[in-house]
This record gives sequence, structure tokens and C-alpha cells, in this order.
Amino acid sequence: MPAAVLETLWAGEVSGGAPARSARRALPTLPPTLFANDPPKKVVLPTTKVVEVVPAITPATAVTAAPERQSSNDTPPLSRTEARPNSAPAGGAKSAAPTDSPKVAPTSTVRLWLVARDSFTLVAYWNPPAGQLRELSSEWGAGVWQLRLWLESVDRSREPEVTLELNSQPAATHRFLPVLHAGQRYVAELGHWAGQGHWRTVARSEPLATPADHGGSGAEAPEFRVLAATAPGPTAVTAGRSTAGPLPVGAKGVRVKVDARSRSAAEQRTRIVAEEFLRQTPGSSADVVKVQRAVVEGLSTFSQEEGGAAVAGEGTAGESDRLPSSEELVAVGPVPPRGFWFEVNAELIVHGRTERGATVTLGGRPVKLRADGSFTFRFALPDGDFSLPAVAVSAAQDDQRSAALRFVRQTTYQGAVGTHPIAPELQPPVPEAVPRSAVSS
Amino acid sequence: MPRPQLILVLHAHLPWVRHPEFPRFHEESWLFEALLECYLPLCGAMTEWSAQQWPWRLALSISPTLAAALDDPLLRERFEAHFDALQDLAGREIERQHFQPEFREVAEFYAARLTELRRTWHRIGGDVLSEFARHASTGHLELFTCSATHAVLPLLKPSPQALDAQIALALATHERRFGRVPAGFWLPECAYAPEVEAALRARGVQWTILETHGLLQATPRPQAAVFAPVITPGGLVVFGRDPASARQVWSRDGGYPGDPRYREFHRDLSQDAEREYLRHWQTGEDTEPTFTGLKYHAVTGTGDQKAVYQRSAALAAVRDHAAHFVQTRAAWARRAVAEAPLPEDRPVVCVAPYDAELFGHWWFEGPEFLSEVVRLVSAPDSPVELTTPSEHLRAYPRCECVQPNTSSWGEGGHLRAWLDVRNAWMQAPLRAAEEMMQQLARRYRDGDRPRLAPDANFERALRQAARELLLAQASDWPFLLRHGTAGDYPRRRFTEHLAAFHQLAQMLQGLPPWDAALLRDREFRHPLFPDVDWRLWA
Repeated sequence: MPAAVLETLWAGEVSGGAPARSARRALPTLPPTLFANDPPKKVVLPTTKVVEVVPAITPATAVTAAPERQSSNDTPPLSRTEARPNSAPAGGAKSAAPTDSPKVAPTSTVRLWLVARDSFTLVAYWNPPAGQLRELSSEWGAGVWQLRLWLESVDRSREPEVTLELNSQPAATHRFLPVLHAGQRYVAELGHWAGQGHWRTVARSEPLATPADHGGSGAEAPEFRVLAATAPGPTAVTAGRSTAGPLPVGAKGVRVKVDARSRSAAEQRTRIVAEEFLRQTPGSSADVVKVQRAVVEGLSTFSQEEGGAAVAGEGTAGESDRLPSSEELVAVGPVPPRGFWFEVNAELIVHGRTERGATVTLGGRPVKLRADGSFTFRFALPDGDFSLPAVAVSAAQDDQRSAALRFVRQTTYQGAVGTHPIAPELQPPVPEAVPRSAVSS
Repeated sequence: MPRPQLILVLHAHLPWVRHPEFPRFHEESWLFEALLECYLPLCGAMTEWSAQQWPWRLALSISPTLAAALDDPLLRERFEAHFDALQDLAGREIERQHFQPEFREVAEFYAARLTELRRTWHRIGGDVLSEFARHASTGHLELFTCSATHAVLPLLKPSPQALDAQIALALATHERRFGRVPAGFWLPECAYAPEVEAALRARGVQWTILETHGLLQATPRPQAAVFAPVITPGGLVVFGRDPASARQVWSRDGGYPGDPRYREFHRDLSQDAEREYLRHWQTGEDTEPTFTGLKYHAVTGTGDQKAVYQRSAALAAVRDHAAHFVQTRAAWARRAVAEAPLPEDRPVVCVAPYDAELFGHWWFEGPEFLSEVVRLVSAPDSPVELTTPSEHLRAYPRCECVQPNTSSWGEGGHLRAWLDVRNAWMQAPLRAAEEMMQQLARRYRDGDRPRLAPDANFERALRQAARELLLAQASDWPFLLRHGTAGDYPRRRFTEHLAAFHQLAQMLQGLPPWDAALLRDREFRHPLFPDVDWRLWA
């Protein structure tokens, strides 16, 4: 692909023929440790296998799990060369670039954004002009579209590393990305992977920090201030007008150092509030009718209705019906340390897709398909041997396919290992547990 | 130690729903129901509190879309028609229930209540906002605002201009309507991120309210937890939601609205009466009648068998719960102080924010509950006193400086509800439209205009494009889509606004033909924010 076109793609130039110079000004800020013109750094790969994630996006976005990388040599490097044509080639990426002109409008662009859904789930979404990724796919030939997630510590104290790779499809527009670290910086890349070091970056997100899941410690010497008279930055549209009432102000925000009170007192207050906080189910007015019913009916599924369904549908990791960081909130008080501990458990997600109008049975029970012909079921997976035959019959009832699914879990423990709780409504994967109509969607 | 302070905060919001292209439109009833069940009862209650000379205080945020709807002549006219029909129905219900004394008593209660609400409507001239402004002028009520179309602001971080436009337009709209710039700003869904804070301060916002963990997880951890406001390094004062007062209303384990004596929300006359009798409440021949608001049953208990609503029993529950609420606020404050004295000699502050529509709509007796709380707290020997955020800051201006954590009051404490499998697809088209709006605004600001048709009014088209974008950004559409409580309406609204935006954007790029009829039609349908400044996006 010609460097100019790649530059255009990368630069995020907007449609409508904006000058190249202004397009370059729109270049996203790159994490210095990742993409600046500093000497290439070794990309640190996870030592474990690439995380396999259950596909969990919009029905129109079918995806498959990323193939395992056998070694770091098989993982394409960050494509400095293709993203920045003036840079030195790296990792053989340049050799992978096709030499003929791609069938892409020179003003087209792909933008990629990253947003934190919570401390442990990100959403990457992108905005390819219609058909652009498909055209690139046909231009670049065999390969897969991939979304990569790079982890970078907030304090830049360690090398960035690929923490997740997911295959995608040209028609996809967003993906949910489970992450392991709250309060860390991530960068997403969307690109085309043709194997053997041939990686082309098409878009890269701005860095994003996931919300911290715990607070800082109390300050030894808390700093007190008084509201500033005027805000910094541009003049407010309302500047100079009367306000709802004069608030006491300091010229620049008065800093007042006071003697620190007992840290334990502050921790005690936080613990009191945290305990109360964890007893409630947050919500807004739309929930109150459910609350009203739940109170009198003693329902135990209120929170599951709100939180569980989405989790089941997405199959993302790191989600729970509990409030985030609850353990940390409780732990900030003078609770005796628990010591080292370990809990583990397993769940099973069975999902699939067939043509619209087809009939599917799982464990002999008919299941309701989504409008696009897909289905998803989530089960508990205790120790044992389970079989779930899956059968699909075509809409015309002239063809049939089946799969004999068998799952075995055999757990051996060493030392005290607890059972990590799972959603109480989940059942083992036996035919009786297949709901006839409660399809996750 | 000063008396503990209680800050009651109501956030009033409805999405912009106005369909002049139809003679009647089902979703417009959201506003009518809220008026009859929440806003008008609140107006009546405030007047009563003032007449009693109670030292009441309340903070009320009114979303700009709700304010626009309350001021809209067409919606007012339609509300009055709705009101007439409901009063007529209540009168007929007294006759229909003649031989069932228990039910007749409830029907008579509704008829009397509607008469009283009609009196309030006439007294304020149908102008709810001016009535609120009148109470604000006395210092009892602190009015503030939220983002222009209730956008969840952290989602707009990729587009600083779009983020700023939501804030600046809301402040300007509030100032124009109420004559004052609000000191406070309600973050829709309490959704906070540091980038949002910077945008708020850049526009002079002085305080906001966060969900509890926004403060508990702050850095450093606040000395007073949520019992005192904090100030961010950027200079924004932040109050934290008191989890105890929230739980008493929301919790399934003991929230007040679930008391068996209160009115059952789900069982409406529309489910029991003959279709022909309820012809007015059907928006189509094949549709179910909409809720009338006349409900004869109490929460009662499990199952479909419901007891008949007894107003006196419900009011007794109100008294019980209001007394409990005040007592537990005091006990909560005492516990906070006893176990860990606050730094400085300042009162414990309990901030209790709620959606305003909870009071009256979802929880029918909610306004009476508020009145009873105000009455109890007004007693000279009350263990707590009411205040507003700005009043508290005037008395206690020093705040500990901390950096709050990213947070919201939605499910999971973050953005799950608005980034769900059902609605995450909405974000990419929004970002694209925001970028397009920015391009257009810069281009026209810089005089780089394409040749347009002679009758082209680019200023009007830019303003309408801005309105369409703002309306597409509303938090309501993804929220309703996720919960599936409004059918396909939220999806249609979202796509309709984006489609109109792009049609207008094409016209503004000089792509013929200039469709003046389209522009007029869109202005006709969505005339809110009449003088929106498209340069905000430049």
C-alpha cells in the first residue's frame, strides 16, 4: 500500500477533502512509550496464552476467538513502519505491504475509540466508512481483522504489552474487551493480520485509563481549599453574570494546611459509609417499580435482572452483579487482614448461530433463536461429565447438522482453595437446564 | 458541633418528546403524567411549606429538555386536553363505582385531587418553571441544571467541543429561563470523569454531586468520607451521595415505596375497564389503552389479588416513613460523629439525591412524604436541618482537596447501562456526527462556505443540525433501548435525529439540492434551544 494512502488512513483525515496538514494535526496523541520515534523497544508479550473471549457483540458482528500465538516471534510488532511511513521498517511489516494501489478513497478514514464500561470492561468502537474495511480486505487478501489491546502502566514503569487480541470482521463496529487491571492505561489497535509478521494498523485509539477500583489512602496532611472566584480556561458563556448566590471564594483557591486528624478516624468513616453503600442496589427511578414489587414479593433476582442478563449475553470477564470494588471498599476499614487465599470456579457458555428460520435443539430441547439466528446459553460448570447434543434443522427442513458437545471438568486442588461464587441462577449444562425461551440477547 | 444538615436534591428530567405531526402521541403522556403526579403536586407542596413559614430547603435540577417541554405551547395545550379528559373520567368513575363504596371512595379521592391540581395549574398560569423560579427567589429552592439533552458526559470525552456544547448550552438556557446562572450542575446519571470536571470548571460551574464511590475511591481518600463536600484540584466542589438515604428509598430489602399500604403502580384502570369506556386513552384502534393514572389498588403483597387502596392507610405509612427517615438521618450523623469526629467544627452533611419523578409518579405518595419530612425537620427541636448545596458552601467554604474517582449511579457504578449489547452500537455514529458538526462549524466560522442556493439559510440549518445532534446524544435512548420499556421508539428517535443531522450536513456542504422544506419540517418538530450557538462546536 502506498505510504501516502496509509498516512491518510492513519492520520484520521476527515471526509470532505480537508487539507493534509490539518489532518495531520488531528493525529491522535500516541503513548510515548509505544509509538514515538524513540528506538524500537521489545514488545513484551503475555507469557500465557492469548485470552480467549466468548464472542459477545451485536448480532451483526460475528467473531471468532483469536488464534493462539506460539511464540513472541509470531506476533506482529507494532507497525511503526506502516503507520509512519517515514520511520524505519520493523518486524518485516514493510515487506508485507502490497505494492499496488488499494481501492480506497484517499480521503477515507477509520477512527477507533476506547471507552471504559467499568473498571474491568472496555468497549472499542470504530467508524469505518461504509465498505472500507471490506475493500481493504479484498485488496490485502488472506488474513484477518484483529483488534489488539495494549496495556501500559499509568506511571509508564513497564513496557507496554499486548493483553488481548481478538479477531473481528469487516462489518463489526464495536467490541467489548475484558481487562484485568483497573486504573491502568490501555490503547486499542485495529488492523489486518496476514500472518508471518504481516500486520497493518488501520486505526489506533487514544490511550484510556480504566477507572480505579479502590481509592487512595487518606492524606497524612489533608489539604483544604476554598472555591476559586473564577474558573480557569476559556471565558464562560455566563462569565460576569450573577450566579445563584454568592459563594465564598478565594482569589486562586486558598490552600489551607491543617493538622491531620487520626487516619483511623477517616478510615472508620469510610468504612461506615462503605458498608451502607454495599447494602444498597443503586438505581434510578426506572427501577423503583421493580423495587416496589420486589419488596413485597421477596424477589431475590432484582440485581440479576439488571446486571446478570447483560453479562450473560456478552460473556465478558470481570463482571459481577456486585458493585465494583466492594472488597476494597470493605477492606479500607480496620478489618483484620484475611491472609492469602484463592477461589476458583468455572462457567460454560454455549453459543452458536445458524440460518434464520432454522430450528435448533440443545439437549433435545428447542431453543429460541435471536433474529439473526444466533443463540447463547450460560451454565455453571461444576466437576463432572456433561453432554449436550446440539441439532440444527434448516428452515426448509431439508437439511440437518448436529454437534455432540461434551464437557468434562476434573479439578484437583492443592491447599485451601475456595469456590468462587457464580450467579445463583446458573445450572450445570444438562438438558433440563436449557431454558426453552429465556435466550440471552 | 452544629446540627447535622440534610440536603434534599431532586433531579427532574424527561426526554424531549413532542410530535406535532400527529394529533396525539403516546410518549407525550410521559410529560402529562409527570406533571399531574409530580411537578404540580410539588408546586402545591412548596406553596404550602412557604405558607406555613417552614424553613424548607430543596435543590432541584431541571433538565433543559424538560424545561423546553414545560414551556412549549403545543405540549401545554395537549396537556390541558389530557387533564380535561382525566377529570371527566374521574367524574364518570364516581358514578360507575356508585355501588362499590370502597372503590367509590378512591374515585372521589381522585376527583378531589384533580380539582386541587387544577386549582394549582390555574394559580400558576400553567407555568411550572416560573413557579419554581418564584420559590428560588426566596432562597428556599436552589435551581440548577444538567447537560443540554441529558447526555452522559463521560461518553463525550473524545469530542471536547461536543462535551462543552452540552454544558455551555445548558447553562445559557438555564440563565435565560431563570435569570440566573446556576452554581451547580447535575451530571446525568451522576456520571463523572476527570475530563468532565475540567469542562465544567471551564464554564464556571461551582459544584456537583457524585455517587458515593466517586468520593470513597477518591485520591487521597477524603477525611470525612461523604459527610462533607470536597474540592477537586481543578476547583470543582463535589458532594457525595449519602448511601443510607438512598437505600431507604431504593432498597428491595426495605425501601419505603414497597410498603403494602402504598398505591400499586402497575394496576391501572385501563386494565380493568371496558375498551369503549376508555376510548380517549387509546392512541390507535389496535393498541392497548394507556395508563389513565387512576389506580384502585394498594401494593398489598404477592400475587394478583390486591387490596383496595385506602388513602388514610397510605398517609399513615407516609408519616411512619418520614419519621423514620428523619430519625435515621440523625442517627446516621450521630454515628458518623461518635465513631470518628469530623475535622473542624462543621456539621455532618447528608446529601440525598433522587430522580424527581420518583415522587408522585413511581411512588404515588412521594410528594406527601417530602412534605412530611419538611414538616418534621422544621420543628425547632429537629435533630437535623435542611440546607442547599450553595447555602452549605457559603457557611462552610473550606473543603478538603481530593481527586474523585470515575463513577456513576448506574448499574455497577459506571457506564454499563449505556454501553450494553443493546446500545453500544450508538457510540460510533455519534462520534462521526460530532466530528462532522465540528468541521461544519469551523468551516462556516472561518468563512469557508460552499456556494449554496439563493434561499439557503445556513445559520438556521447549522442551528438545526446542532439540535439534531444534541437530541441524538440524549442518555434516554440507550437507556430505554437497554431496558426495552419503550419498544422501538428510542431506536427510531436516535436514527431519525442522526439521519436529519446528516441531511442537513450535506446541504451545508453544498451538496444540492438545498431542501428548505426539510429544514422547516425539522424546525417545526424540534424547536427547542431556539438560539443555540453552532460556534460552540468550532
